Amino acid sequence: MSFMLRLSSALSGRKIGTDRFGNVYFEGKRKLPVYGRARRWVIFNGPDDPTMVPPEWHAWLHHTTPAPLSETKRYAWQKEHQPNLTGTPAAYRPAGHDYVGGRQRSNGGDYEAWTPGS
Amino acid sequence: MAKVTVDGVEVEVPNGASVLQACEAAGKEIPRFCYHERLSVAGNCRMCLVEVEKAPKPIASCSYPVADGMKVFTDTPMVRNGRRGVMEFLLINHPLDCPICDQGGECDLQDEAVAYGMDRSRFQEGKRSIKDKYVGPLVKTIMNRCIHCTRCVRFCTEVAGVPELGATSRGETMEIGTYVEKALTTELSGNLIDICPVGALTSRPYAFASRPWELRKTDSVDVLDATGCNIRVDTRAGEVLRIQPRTNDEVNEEWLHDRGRFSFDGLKRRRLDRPWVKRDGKLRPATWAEAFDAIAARMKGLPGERIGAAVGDLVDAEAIVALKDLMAGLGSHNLECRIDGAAVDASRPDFWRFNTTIAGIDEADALLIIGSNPRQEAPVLNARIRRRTLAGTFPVGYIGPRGVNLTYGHDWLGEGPETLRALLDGSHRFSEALGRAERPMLILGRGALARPDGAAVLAAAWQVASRHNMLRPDWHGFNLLHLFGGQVGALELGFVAPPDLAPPGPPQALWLLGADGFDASRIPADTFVVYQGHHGEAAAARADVILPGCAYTEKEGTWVNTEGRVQRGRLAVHPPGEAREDWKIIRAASEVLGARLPYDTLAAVRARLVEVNPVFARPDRLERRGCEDKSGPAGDPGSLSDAPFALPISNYWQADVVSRASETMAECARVLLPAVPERIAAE
Ligand code: SF4
Ligand code: FES
Repeated sequence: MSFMLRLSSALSGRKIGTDRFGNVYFEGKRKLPVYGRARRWVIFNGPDDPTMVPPEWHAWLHHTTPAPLSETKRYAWQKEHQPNLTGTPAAYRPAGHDYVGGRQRSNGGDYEAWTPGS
Repeated sequence: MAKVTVDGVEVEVPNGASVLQACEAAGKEIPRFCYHERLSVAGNCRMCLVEVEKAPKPIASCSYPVADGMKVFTDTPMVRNGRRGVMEFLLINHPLDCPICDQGGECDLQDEAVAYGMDRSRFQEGKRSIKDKYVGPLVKTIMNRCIHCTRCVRFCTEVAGVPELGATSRGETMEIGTYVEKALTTELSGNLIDICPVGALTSRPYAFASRPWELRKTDSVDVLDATGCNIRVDTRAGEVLRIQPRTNDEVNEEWLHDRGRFSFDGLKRRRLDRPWVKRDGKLRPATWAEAFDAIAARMKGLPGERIGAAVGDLVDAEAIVALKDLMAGLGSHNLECRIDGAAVDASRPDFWRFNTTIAGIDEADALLIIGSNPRQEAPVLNARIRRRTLAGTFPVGYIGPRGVNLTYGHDWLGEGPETLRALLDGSHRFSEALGRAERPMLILGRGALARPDGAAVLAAAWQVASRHNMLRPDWHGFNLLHLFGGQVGALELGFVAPPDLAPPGPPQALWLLGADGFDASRIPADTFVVYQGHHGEAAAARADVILPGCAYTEKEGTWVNTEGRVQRGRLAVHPPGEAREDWKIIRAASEVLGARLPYDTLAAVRARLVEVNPVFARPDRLERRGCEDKSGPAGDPGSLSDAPFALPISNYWQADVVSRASETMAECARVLLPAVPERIAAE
């Protein structure tokens, strides 16, 4: 979070809140003339990565909901938000990928082998 | 002939041809949905509009006959507007579900919509919706997408000969279906998927599997029946995802039978993917080196006459010739390719080929079928017979079980050889029909030879042919219908024991190359058995050494169809695990057995094939031959028994090792077997 960004955010907007990952959300003080609504933005806690925004704040950020959704109300089926890991060591790699051993079946597709007695 | 001018290009087409055919002759493509070259003309989609000089309105070119001097325009504002209008009407009720439609990418409606579709809809009302129908385990229906071209109805009625599909209601409420819910009882149902121009009829096993542009396409040939249908194997990431027919007017036209099309999932089950060696009475996984050591230990030094070899139904010619040469190197003459026990006479090609050729059926004018049900043994060939029966007078006599439904009318003559005897002395009523015919033919089923008096049946059938003027230098009417794609190749290569050389006793070692489907307990207990093949079944379980080979989609191979047409199959996917190409396995084994085969490359094996039989020099080409030599096969018609003929295939869907391993085919057998009337009341 650069000093200039914090300064301009403080001057032109007001802070709405901070999510559980430490990202800070702002809303502009005046309405944009074309849209008839105020601008909303986020200052990331860490490097700029839009996938850091959890769904509760994502909805608010994109003007889907007037206020951020509750971060405390959780259902059993809800999974924790995860930023996009592509390009990092934690990225998903299918079985047989070079980085997870690289042992691939020469013929690709699956098959069921015969065994005596089957 | 009529002279027609299409967009300024003058073409000559036969009288009675349609305007659409004239346009095609002039190289103009006409959009169409309901018209299909091999079906009757319906003229109900109206997409094929063209303008004809002096006609007040655009005309549907597919159903409009040409007239001499006609001037046709295929690209005028009137034509384009007409087609746009038709397209708009078609799309009124067609769902916009291309993203989830299996036809996407190969859909005629998509393609034509690019050319004639509007970019928006003017239709404000609700779209029609139709319940999906169940028509069997192979064809999936999404009836909302149907555009009522009735191609499927015409295919079922005309080509497949099972008038089970039809339309109910009319206008907006028209629905295509089977009236009463049931599975289609045809062996050609997969072709409905190809001819449906939209995604209303799609393949159930292929549902949501892939997009056409993701597939690698390999031209190959089907070996699961003896017709030798030309196929295209579509694969992705080393997996066969579907099999489709390729057009070959001389063999399969553009059809493919269901077992050839849908049993490929059997290529992924029960596979032999590594060598096995029997130690202490139990088969154990082994390496190739251990397997060859075990073979060398038991087979090296055995006298040649105590070694035997048998090849199965689906084996390619390369492997057969390699095994034949290996056996010759070991000094063995005990070869057998007729593991079903059919008494095929291997002395002259006339006795084992479909000499009339498949295309020749169109020219024949009388047919006698003996002990065969071509509908189950060669469905595509049967469709051709059916078309011939529709084309004009074509008496069909049938000797075999009573009440078999061949999809065309036939004259049931009798159940067994006594009818043959009557035909032989000319006292049978059908002799007259055959005598009147100019080009009579007979089809002898391979199953009719797989009985104790098989040789007599063959000789009797040959004499029936000879007596009824079927054997002439300009017309050969004697045909043997085989069951599987590898059977003729083995006969062409002479993989049989010389008739005068009987083995001195049971073999001490036996090499089974894909030979399965016979009673393995007939092999003496102390015989050393090598099984080489791609699927494990009874014979593999009995083996002492198992060598994993390739199925027909996994190797470059040569197969010979029942006519004697040499065709090449190509490698579409790699074999599973440690399996290797069959001729290479035999070549490697020859090394350890001390009878080294002289070829190291596929080209060298193929050169050897040509050396053994020159027909292998001309793949894909087949010369029609007359009958030059009327002398018959060995076998005495006098020794015919009275046992009625039994049909060799009782379960069409599970007739070979690949389809027996297939789950799709198992489902078909479950759903359809009781429903197919094997014996319906005589017509
Ligand atoms: S299901 Fe397909 S082939 Fe049959 S009428 Fe409908 S669109 Fe035509
Ligand atoms: S193709 Fe001519 S009306 Fe359908």
